[in-house]
Amino acid sequence: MNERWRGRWKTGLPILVVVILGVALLTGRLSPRTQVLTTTRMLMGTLVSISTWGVPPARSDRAVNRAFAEMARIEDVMSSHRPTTEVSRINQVSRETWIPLSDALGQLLQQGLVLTERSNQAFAMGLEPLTGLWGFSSDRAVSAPPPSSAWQAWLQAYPATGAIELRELPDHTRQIRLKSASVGLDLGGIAKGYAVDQAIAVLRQEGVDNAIVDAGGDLRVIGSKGGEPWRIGLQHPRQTDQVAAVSLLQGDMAMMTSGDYERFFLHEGQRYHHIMDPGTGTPAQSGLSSVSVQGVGGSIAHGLSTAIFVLGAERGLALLKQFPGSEALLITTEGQPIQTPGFVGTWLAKP
Amino acid sequence: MRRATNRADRQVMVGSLLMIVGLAIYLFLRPAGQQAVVQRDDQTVLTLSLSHDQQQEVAGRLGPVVIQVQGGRVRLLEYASPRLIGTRSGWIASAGAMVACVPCGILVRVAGEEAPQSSPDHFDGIAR
Amino acid sequence: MSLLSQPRTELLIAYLAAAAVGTHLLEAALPGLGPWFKPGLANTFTLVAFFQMGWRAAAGVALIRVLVGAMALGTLFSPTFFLSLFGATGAVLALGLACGWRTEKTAVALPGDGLGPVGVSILASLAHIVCQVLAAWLFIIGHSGIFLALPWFLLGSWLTGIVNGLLAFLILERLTHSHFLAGQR
Repeated sequence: MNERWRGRWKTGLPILVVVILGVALLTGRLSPRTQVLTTTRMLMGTLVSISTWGVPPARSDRAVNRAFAEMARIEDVMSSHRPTTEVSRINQVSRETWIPLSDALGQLLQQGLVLTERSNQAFAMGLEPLTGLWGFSSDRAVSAPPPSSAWQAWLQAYPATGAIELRELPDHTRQIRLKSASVGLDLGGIAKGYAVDQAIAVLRQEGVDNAIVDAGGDLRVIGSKGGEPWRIGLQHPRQTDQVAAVSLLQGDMAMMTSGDYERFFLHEGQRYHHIMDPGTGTPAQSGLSSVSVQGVGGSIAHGLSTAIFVLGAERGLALLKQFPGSEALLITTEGQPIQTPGFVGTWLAKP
Repeated sequence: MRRATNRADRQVMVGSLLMIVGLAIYLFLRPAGQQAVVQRDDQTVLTLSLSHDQQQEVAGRLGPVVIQVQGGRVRLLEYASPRLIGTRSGWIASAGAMVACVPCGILVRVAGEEAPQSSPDHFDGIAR
Repeated sequence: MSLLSQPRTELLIAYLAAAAVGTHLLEAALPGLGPWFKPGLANTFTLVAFFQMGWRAAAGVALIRVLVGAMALGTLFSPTFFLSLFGATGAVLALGLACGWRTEKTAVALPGDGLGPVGVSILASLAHIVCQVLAAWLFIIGHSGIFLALPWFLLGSWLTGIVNGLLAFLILERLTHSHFLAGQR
């Protein structure tokens, strides 16, 4: 190669490279992709992912491990699927007796009972016998609905009020009393939200301010990715490899979703899902296939999504108004969206 | 008028064409497509190519679990197994995506790196 | 190209750049051809600049085409623009490399005198598409599926390279025989 060529390389090339890189960096196209660290584990019967941003790997690992440990601990307290958890032991005790509660469980039950009252019992935490009747209690399913006499009997037996009673003693500990054999604690409609809240608290304690905790699709975000919001897709209830809506979340926001498309069985063309309506003794038929609630705090958002799913659009949205700061996106069984004005998200799916 | 191309030009023409053809042959012959990795309790028990439709059974903790590949996508097919409820999350196709039947101890993941942060397909989380 | 008696290099660059931008806009207006299948005829003028006035002039024409073309189409700083920029950079760098194969930087290559317009054009065209695909992979698409389509892109560019090279050759022939460049050489 000749002299002139070398000369050109010396001046032109570096200038060109610097200009290109400069423009690319300035427009954020070369932003490093390695700053979001994600860990996924099987927990609470689902896949739980925790992502952190802007934290060095060692510190992120430590924080994430502690957060997972906390969620496992909560599962050990709140799950009704395993015989040794606190909830199961309460369910095994004879009814109409006061049973002492751990602080965590007491706190959660208190929050839940507020929701039970405001939703006129649509949200209920004592449906374990009903859930079991329909086959959703264990991992082994029945694939046909129980005879209608079975749930009618349950409906008759379930107390209209006071199925679960809570009291606080002078020493600030709480106790619980279950009214009858038709009542059994099942926290499936709120526990994941609680676990996510506790995981976020642990992450914050460890100095992580930008993260997502995603428990099988029920998630909460804190902070952002250096100013860029977390990009959350809402799964379409029927075309499950499609995203129905995109939400850009940052700050402190939980987004909890209840739907009829994750735990269900089909029998003679009919879909039987796991969200029970205590008013009918059957899976809720409210015309909705998915309810996503956004708000500060996972437990309430999770409980609200369950309650609204059971109540249906009209009464569900009325309930939502009692919780200012909470917003929702409902998807009907026909695939139509109903979105409250404050819900952060853009609907994508074609009708 | 002079000839439009000289010998060096023609050499470049032919040489580059040969390289393009060579590249095409190489890419054509390589095993194409993405793979699905199936894990049982964190151990890989099966790897499936997503390029041809197929169905495979693996032993889960509660009985056999069927993994189905169709049209470049993969899913846990559970309707045939009335004894099981897993997380029914449907089809997955993009690198990094996963579905699981937790009580079965089975996890299916599409191999490869996730779409980078800047790609329009990238989601930090899927609410469901 | 009018018959002026003492034209300057800058004027020729301006003409070529204008022709390049014009061709670029015309191609953009063509229906049916996707963003990847433009004939890229605008590069012809970059080539003419290269053979007539050297590497820097060619870089200038290319840069003007990308910038002014994007401004005219309203795509400045859009992903398309960056792809264009990356591609043009690659092409210009390839031109720089091609200089090494030539002996005279300002004269049209004679047979046996190193690479002519067709050869240089092919190299620049291939470099252009490779850089564009790389840029698309890095910043837009992100998964390697795009590389499977690379042979088709390369083939298209190879053809375009030949066409551009021939066109450039024709233009250069006219230039040397016209009065426009009297006093240039």
